[in-house]
Amino acid sequence: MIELGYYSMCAALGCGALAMVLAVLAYRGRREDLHDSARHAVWGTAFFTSLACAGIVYAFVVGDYQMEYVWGNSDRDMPLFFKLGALWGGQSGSLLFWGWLVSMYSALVALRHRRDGVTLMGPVLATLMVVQVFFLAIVIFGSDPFRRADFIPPDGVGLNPLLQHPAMVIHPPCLYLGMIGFTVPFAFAVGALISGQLDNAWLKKARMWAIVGWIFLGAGNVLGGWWAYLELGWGGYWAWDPVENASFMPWLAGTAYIHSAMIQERKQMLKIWNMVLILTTFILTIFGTFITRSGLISSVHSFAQSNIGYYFGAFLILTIVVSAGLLIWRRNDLKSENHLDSYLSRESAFLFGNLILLGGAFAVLYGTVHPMFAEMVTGKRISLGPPFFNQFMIPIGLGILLLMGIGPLIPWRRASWSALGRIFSVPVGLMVGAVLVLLAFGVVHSYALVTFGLCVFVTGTVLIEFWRGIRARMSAHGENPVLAFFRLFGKGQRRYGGYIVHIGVVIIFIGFAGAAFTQEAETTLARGETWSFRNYDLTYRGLHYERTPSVEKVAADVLLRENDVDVAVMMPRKDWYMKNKQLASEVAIHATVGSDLYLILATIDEETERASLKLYWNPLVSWYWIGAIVMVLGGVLVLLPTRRRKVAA
Amino acid sequence: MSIKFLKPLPACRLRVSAWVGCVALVGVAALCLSWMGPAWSQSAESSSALAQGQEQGRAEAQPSPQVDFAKLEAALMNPCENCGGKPLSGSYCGGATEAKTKMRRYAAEGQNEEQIVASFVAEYGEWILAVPEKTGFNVLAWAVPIGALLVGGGLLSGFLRQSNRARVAAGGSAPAGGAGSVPSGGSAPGSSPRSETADRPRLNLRREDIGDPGPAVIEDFLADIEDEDTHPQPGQVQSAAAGRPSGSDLSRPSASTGSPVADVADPDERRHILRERLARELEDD
Repeated sequence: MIELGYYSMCAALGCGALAMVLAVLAYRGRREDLHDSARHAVWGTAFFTSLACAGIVYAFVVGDYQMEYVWGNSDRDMPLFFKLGALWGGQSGSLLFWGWLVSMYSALVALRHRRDGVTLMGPVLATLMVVQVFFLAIVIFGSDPFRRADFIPPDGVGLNPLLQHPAMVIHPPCLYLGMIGFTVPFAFAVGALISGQLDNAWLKKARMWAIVGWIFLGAGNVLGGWWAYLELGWGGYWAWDPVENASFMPWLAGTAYIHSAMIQERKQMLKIWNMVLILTTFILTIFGTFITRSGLISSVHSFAQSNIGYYFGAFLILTIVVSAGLLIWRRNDLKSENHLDSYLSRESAFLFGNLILLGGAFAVLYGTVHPMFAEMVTGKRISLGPPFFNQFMIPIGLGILLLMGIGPLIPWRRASWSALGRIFSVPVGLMVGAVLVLLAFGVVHSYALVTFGLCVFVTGTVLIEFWRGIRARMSAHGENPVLAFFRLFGKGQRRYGGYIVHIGVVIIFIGFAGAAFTQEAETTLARGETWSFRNYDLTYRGLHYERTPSVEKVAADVLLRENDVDVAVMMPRKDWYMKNKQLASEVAIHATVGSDLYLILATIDEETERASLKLYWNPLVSWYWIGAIVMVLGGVLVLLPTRRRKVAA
Repeated sequence: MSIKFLKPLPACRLRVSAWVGCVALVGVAALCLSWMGPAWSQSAESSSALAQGQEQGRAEAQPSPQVDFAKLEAALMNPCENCGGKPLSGSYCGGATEAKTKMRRYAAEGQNEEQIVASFVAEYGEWILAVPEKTGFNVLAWAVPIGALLVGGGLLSGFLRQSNRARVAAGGSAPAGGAGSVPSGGSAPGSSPRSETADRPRLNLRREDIGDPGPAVIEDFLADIEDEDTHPQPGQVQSAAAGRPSGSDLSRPSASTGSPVADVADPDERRHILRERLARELEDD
């Protein structure tokens, strides 16, 4: 199996390199026959990388511990579910998995765009194969997952306990699908720059791939937050950790690109800007991988330091230089055909949105790397923790929320102040009303008030847009409101799917606002003692022990009563992984739509059975998860194929 | 010597400057507010019910109630070398537990919050602070992102001005609520702005763009129609779908109303008529 996997990787590398060369030759000679061959080689690469991945998965399933990677990331007692996830649990396996995903995306691009001409698709496939060859070369020459151990160990050492969670089986693939998803629009952009086909064709072809990448990256970020919330036990889901930042930055830049591309599609403007955005998005994915893999910046879940970082550093520099060079080369061809009609227009709102999104991405980027610069310059270590990032990102987030409300209603091309007053009077009225109601209920937290107010404003604008669409259909087609509502999605899913995404973001922001009211408390309880917190009573009923062949578990049994009614038994736990010699905390969460009660077993005294508990009351956290689901659903709606209206000749 | 920058700006530029200036000011004010005031998380932590929970419960009391340990833990990083750059708040490894115990011991010895922080800095170094002091090189951590945002705002403002100048040079109309049409397409060199406007296709909106009569599309359509309706231009209006009536055709006198839309004084009524015509037009598709 080791040989099969290794040689499959080598064959994949060969196929990838061949596809790259064939695609270049096909482009240079405008030869469709060579382009066909390049496409076949792309599919061959996908086949061989799939075979290599299947080889590792098989080794995990049968427990082939002679493979160092399998030995270091699994053991006999691990459930099959986690064994499958162990493929991306370590450095080399995750790189191979990354390479496999690149090959699958490339194969799908080659399939979907098989009828497109060689002039654009030649450079596109060549670019994809450059990325493919880079990853396969790293796996083979820098971090080989098929390396054989000198002896045959009877059992593996097991996967990192923190990674043994269902979220970690879903989160990394989702994140990788997002990061790699942006490789495809990047390849289209590079293809357009090389071929000189700089009209909207590349943009339209890349659109679907960009949205796919955006959805997966967003979902991956949220799933990462879900894992952190359940597994890391610090009461929150986002801590501005460098690795979190690494995947958040490209998402912000990608969001800017998706919006900015609409302006080019409609008005043939911002051609160079859209190029810059998509190139930046891809560069940020490589940068994120670079800081995660190089060990340059310490993080709770970065991979171990290795020489892989040098490969990524070199590739990052190469990507930046080539991208900048292509942009400079084609700068005259990228001039806009049109101009902005007015500063009061949707185009301007999108541009301000771009500014804020990129400003946010840059603030996160600089905050992530500044400690490293500071240490290089001053020789002193410093930290930039969550309070630093919140100082920037909360106002930036509110700015984005505001523009999300303005964007859908402000007309394209131009608007007048009087028209704006008419358009926005209802949503602004709703916003002011909501803020007054909240003030009347005693909510005085400034950020929370602004957030809730803006959430109402954005919801108002989206609902007005829906209502106007329904009304237009009712008057144009005589449909009833329900039918009109569903038919809006049937024919205008791109627009209305986008609005659903906005609603999802609003729900997420409500979840964020809830964080302003978080309360925490900690105490040490003896068996039988009751702890009152808000309207809850927590009665500690003692410790429970459980032992499996590889894990010793001790849990505190806590009865939760709310308003004198039993509502749940909470069992926060400490797990001792004997093989890894690692201690992990398992939190207990009583989740409702309104708030989460989040209980952590901090320490225990086994002699006296006294337990130290830490409690977080996290309002509206569920809204964050619900909002993310809505956002993904909206994104999927956007991706549905559009029913085109027949145009009479 | 004339002082150019003291020349009065045209109204449109003033409006632009005001718009850009307002946005920049709001942004800077928001950042300053968040910088100087309590950040969200900090205020959340300061509103912690640590003391409250323990007073309400029958648990043991904190040794020094005047010290907000939750706030302190949020302001410090976990000193454990193995656990990466996590805040102390929410860390439960051996190193974190030791640091928390130490914090409570300092409080029991009578140190206030500032003194405890100073003790930690003296012991571990400045990196123990979740947010460093705003001195020396550290100032760049704030200055660079704010500077980048301002530079970005300046570039955007420059782009908007340049776009405005190019549009005016190409024969476009006054922006933002100003009357007049805005042509699309490039301008022929040597021709006058007026004739360019007349000869060039005036509608950016193409028939296939309409697809579904979504409200924003209607708004676009209405903007185009009203634009031409109010300021009729000579020349043929181009429609992307050959043989189909263009947007401007909808503003012609119709059989049903018998009058040009421009003759209708009430803007709402005018828009209603246009909307009705648009709806009929879309039904024909």
